[in-house]
Formats: sequence, C-alpha cells, structure tokens
Amino acid sequence: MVRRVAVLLAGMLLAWAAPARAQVDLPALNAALIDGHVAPGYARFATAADGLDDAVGALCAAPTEAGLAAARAAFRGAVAAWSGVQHLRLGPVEADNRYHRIDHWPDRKNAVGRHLARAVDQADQAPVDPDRFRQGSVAVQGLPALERLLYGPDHVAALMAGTGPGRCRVATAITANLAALGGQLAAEWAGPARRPFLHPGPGEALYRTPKEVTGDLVGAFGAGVEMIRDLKLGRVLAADGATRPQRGEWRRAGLGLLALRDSLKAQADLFHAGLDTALETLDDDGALGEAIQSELAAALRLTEDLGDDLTAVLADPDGQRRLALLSSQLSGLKELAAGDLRGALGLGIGFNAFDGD
Amino acid sequence: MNRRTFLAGAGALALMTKAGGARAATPGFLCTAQRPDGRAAALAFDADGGLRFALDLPARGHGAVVSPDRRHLVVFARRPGLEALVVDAATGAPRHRLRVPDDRRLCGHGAYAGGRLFTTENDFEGERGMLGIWDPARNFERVGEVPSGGIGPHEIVSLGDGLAVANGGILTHPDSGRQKLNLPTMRPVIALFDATGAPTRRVEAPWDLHQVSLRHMTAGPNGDLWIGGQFQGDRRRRVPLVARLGAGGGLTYLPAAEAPLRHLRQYCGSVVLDSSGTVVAISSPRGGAVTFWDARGGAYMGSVDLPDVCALGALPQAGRFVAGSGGAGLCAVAVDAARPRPLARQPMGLSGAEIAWDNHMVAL
Repeated sequence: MVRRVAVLLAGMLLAWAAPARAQVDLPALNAALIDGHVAPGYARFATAADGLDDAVGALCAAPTEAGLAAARAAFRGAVAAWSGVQHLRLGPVEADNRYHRIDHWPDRKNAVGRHLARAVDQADQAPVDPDRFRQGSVAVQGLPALERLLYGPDHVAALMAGTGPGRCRVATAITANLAALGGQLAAEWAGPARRPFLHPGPGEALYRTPKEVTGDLVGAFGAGVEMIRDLKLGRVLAADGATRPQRGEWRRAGLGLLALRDSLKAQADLFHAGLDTALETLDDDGALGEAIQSELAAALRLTEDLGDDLTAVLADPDGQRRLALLSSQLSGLKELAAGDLRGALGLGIGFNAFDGD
Repeated sequence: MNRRTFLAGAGALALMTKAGGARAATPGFLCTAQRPDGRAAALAFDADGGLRFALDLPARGHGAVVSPDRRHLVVFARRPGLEALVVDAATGAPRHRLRVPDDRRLCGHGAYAGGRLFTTENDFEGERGMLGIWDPARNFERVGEVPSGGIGPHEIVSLGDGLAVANGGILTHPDSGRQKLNLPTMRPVIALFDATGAPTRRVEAPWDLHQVSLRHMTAGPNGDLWIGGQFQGDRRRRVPLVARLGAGGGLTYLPAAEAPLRHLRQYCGSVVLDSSGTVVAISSPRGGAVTFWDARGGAYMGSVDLPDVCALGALPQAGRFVAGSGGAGLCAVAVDAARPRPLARQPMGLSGAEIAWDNHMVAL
C-alpha cells in the first residue's frame, strides 16, 4: 500500500512540478487584453453614451421626427458599444451596481416598466434630482428604461406631443447618468483600475499573481459566450424549439440581433487582442487557436445578413434553424474557452475555482 | 520535499486515520467528482486510501447527505438539478431516485430532520426558495414542501432538533442558465426550522452586506452556525466573508482581516467543523487555500495552500481534514493551535490527480 502510494505520489509530484508546457508571458498577455480590448471597449461606450446624451437632449429641446431618428440612431450606437463590454464584469463596473444601472436585464418581473411609470409620474410634478435618481431604483437608470421612452408607442406619442415634462426629464436624467457612468468607467480603466490587473502582488486585494488576472480575463471570454447562449439566445429560443420573442433583448428597439452579433464580435475582439498570439507561442501546431478562431467565425457567419431585429428572425423557420445551430456552436466554443484554452495557458481547468457554487 | 518525507507523510496519514476511530470503525467519505473522460461521478473512499465504490451520475453532482441510521446516502444533482440518487451507504447499490416536480429545481444540498429528508429547491416561477420534504419510510416519496425563508436556498444542515437553511439571496431561473438575476437587490437569509419543517426563526443579512451571499455552513456542537459567504459586489472592497449565528443571538460577521480574506478571495466554498468541534475549516477554490478558524472564539488560525480546493471532510483527529481539489487530487490538511501545516498529499483510491474532485464531500 505504502509503496503504491509512493509511486503514485512521485507521478503526481512530477506532474505538479511541471504543470504546463506554456511559455506564455502572462503579464504581457494581461496588458494586451486590457489595452487592446477592455479599455478601448469602455472608451467606445463612453463616447456613445455622450452622443446619446446630446441626441436625447436635442430631441427634448425640440421634439421633431428628425430629432427622434437621431436619438434612436444614438441609442443604437450605445447598444452596440455596450454589447462590446457587456460580457465584462470585472474592474470598475463591479462598484456601486454600475453594471445593472447601465443595463438592468433580464428584467423578469417588469421592474423597468413599473419603476419607469412611477419615475415619469414624479417627474411630471417636479424636476429629477440627479443624486436621488442615482440612489434610486437601478431599473430606471439605464438603457432598458430609455429604450421604452424612445420606442414604446405611448411614451413616444406623449414625448413628441410634449404632454407633460416627465418623460423628457427622466430621459435626460438617464442619458446624463449613462454619460457619467461611461466617463467614469473609461477614466478608471485609463488610470487607477489598471493597477491590480497589470501589477498584481501579494499585497493587492484583487489579484496576487498574473495568473489570477489571466484566469479572470479568460473567464470573461467563456462567460461572454455563455451569456450569449443562455441569455441572448436561450431566453427566446427554448431547447424544445419554442420561441418567446417577447423576452428578447432590446426587442422594443428591434436591436436584439445587432446586440447579439456585437457581443459575438466582442468575444472575437477579446480573443484577437492577445489570446490568439499567446496560443501561437505554444507548441501545439496552432491547432487550438485555429479551432477557436474558426468556431468564432462560424458563429458570426450564422448571424450575418439577418438584420438587426431578433423578433423577425425568430418568426422565420430558417432563422430559427440558424439560431439553434448558433446555440450549439456556442456550446462548443464555451467548452474550448473553459477547458482547452485554460489548460493550454497553464491556468488549470478551475473546475471549482471558475465553476463553483 | 523528497520522496522520504512524502512516504513519512503518507504513513503518518494512514496511522493517524487508523488510530483515530472516534466515530465509525473505518472512517470514509463520499465526494462528487468528474472522471478524466468528463463523466460525472461520486466516489466513496476510506481515509487511508482505498476506493469503496464509485457511482455514475447522470449529471454533475454537488452535495450529499447520510441518513441518521447511516444506511442510506443521498447524492444531489448540482443546481439547477432535477434528480437525487439514494444508494446503500455501505455498498453504493442504488435504492431510489428522487425527482423534483417540473416547476422546481434542486439546489444541490439536503438534510434530515424528524425522520424526513429536506432538499433545498428553487420555485423559479414564484421566485422563492423551497424545501422539498421526502419520506424515507415510504421509499423517499415526496410528501410536501415549505418555503425556505428566502431566495436561492443552498446548504441545509441538521441541528438535531431542527434545520438551518442558508438562503444565498441570488435569484436564478432555468430559462437563463445559471445567470444571477437580482444582484442589486439580493438579500441573504438564514432561516431556522423545527423538525417538522415549521419556520422558527429568520435572520436577514444586514443591508450593507447584502451582496455577501451566505451559502455554506456547518453547525457547531453548541448549536452555533458557522457560515461562509461569496461576495457578489465590488471585489476591491474588503468585506467580511465568514459569519456566525449564535443559537440565541444575532448574525455576527468575523472581522474582515487582511490575511484570511487574501486567501479566500471573496469566495468560500465549503465550511466544515473538525471532529473535536473546535476548528472550522473553510475552503476557497478561488484563493486556492483552506483557512482555519477557532470555533470557540472565531479567531483566524491560518491557512494551507491547495490549488482549486473546495470539498472538505473532517478526519477523526482534531484539527484534521481531507480536502479535494479540481486538479491536485486529495490532500490531508491539518492545523494545530500554533501553526497550520499540510500533512501529505495522498492520492486515494483511483489515481487522485486524474479525478477532478467537485465541490463537496460528506463523511460516511
């Protein structure tokens, strides 16, 4: 018994001492992912949120059809930019419920609708106090509430007719809030938020080693793929083929497919910000990198030429078939991201660390 | 470390476990696991290394519980789970299969009280936690359910004359996978029940710590509950992760000291009391460490590193635990009052390094 244990132990020790053939420079990889993907993504969102604030401000100053079209175009730009960082739940967006203040979704019990109605009622009576707005319900502070104001027929009719000041007061409070949040996130990623990611150490609260940082950044890749599959697709297309378009993301604005596609592009952007070249330095014939690349490309191809609106795609049998295919494609991609990619980078599979309960 | 110290370590472990014997004749454990080919399993093993039996599971498992008469072992599917497997605790022979109704999902844990088995469950349409009640005397027939006292119930433990449930506070719905749906408004609750499942006490987490999801716990000999949390907020904040609920008193969070929090990395995986009732071990897969806490005063005692560790079981001797890792096999870890120290990394039964040990183990 003891001898058998010793033999097994020796084997384990060897495996332990040489955990990975990876010769990847993890600090350099982390910097590449932050500088090439994370920080630019938030910078784009900040710009889009500023544009949205301007366009909604102009619409509310003078409600015209052209102004409405411009505000909606800016909203589309903000949704696209948000989709570029929506999979990231690390860093400054963790603080003060910022993530949910930008995007309270999924909204199962219509908190957005209920809280928005109340906010509009109150704003009809008195101007919105920015501090109270910021500290109030997260459901009414972000893009989903603004979507209702810019696309919900009753809201739009009242807003264009200038019926009561409430809608515009809330709409501009939302866009000011989004512009402020976007600015804060971009500024923090350009400054102090980088530190724990680029300079992890024993004294740092967030990360002790570069490997932990890489683990979270690679985790964001897998989690992003899972988010697209489970939320953006899974909520509207059940495994049994049933469709529920009313649950779709940005369904009022008809931007569900645009957002899905931009989320997929964000995963590709994250991968190509440095994970691809990191894999090339490994001695595996480039097989894994190529596999992930081709899965990403195949997933994106399935969403091409389908327009912006997810509801329309769900109504079409061929569209449904493509989305079902996309879902299984994403499951394959998730396996590669959570398993093979981690293994190749010497991060460990993180069976418990990254998929615990 | 060389071969000789490892041999000594392994021998010490074997001696230690043989000499123990405070509880059953031969201590053993069952731990959920994943085989090298990716299949889900639960493996029962002796503390000195032998495999007792292996169960194939239809889907990834999570926690398990032994019946009070020690005849049955129930292994629960991971959330959102549909089935639990009842097997013979000595042989692993299948006895029953529990299946929740279509509008419920198992949360991965269960406990016995008053001759019944209680399972933590999600009523996802009602957005509330439930306890499913099953009768072992009637082939584990489902005989009822009661609200769990909060959202997202997770671990449930027997208190002798009742039950305690850690409602983590996080809302999930099967149509959104495992995505967390209510982080800005989540509110953990520790709920106590009598042996019939009637609620006796409900303790909400304070609002300033409402994003510390209270999920795992163990009951001390005097009825104190030791609770480990997982922080869902800004990870740059230093928040207390370990709490204690006195039998009569309120919820007390242990001070957010730098050393233990560095090892826990905002995430407690398993919370287990040692055989003497004086040491609480709390694992963190994210921190890659097992931390030790004095179960009398709550003082932090130190930690032992083990990558991707989560499952913990109490060995028969005071301050000693077996720990399961996702990538580094099984390891005995120990703490003495002066200095926590690892004893040995010992593969047990099936070659330990090839098995990915899942979140929880239970003493047989």
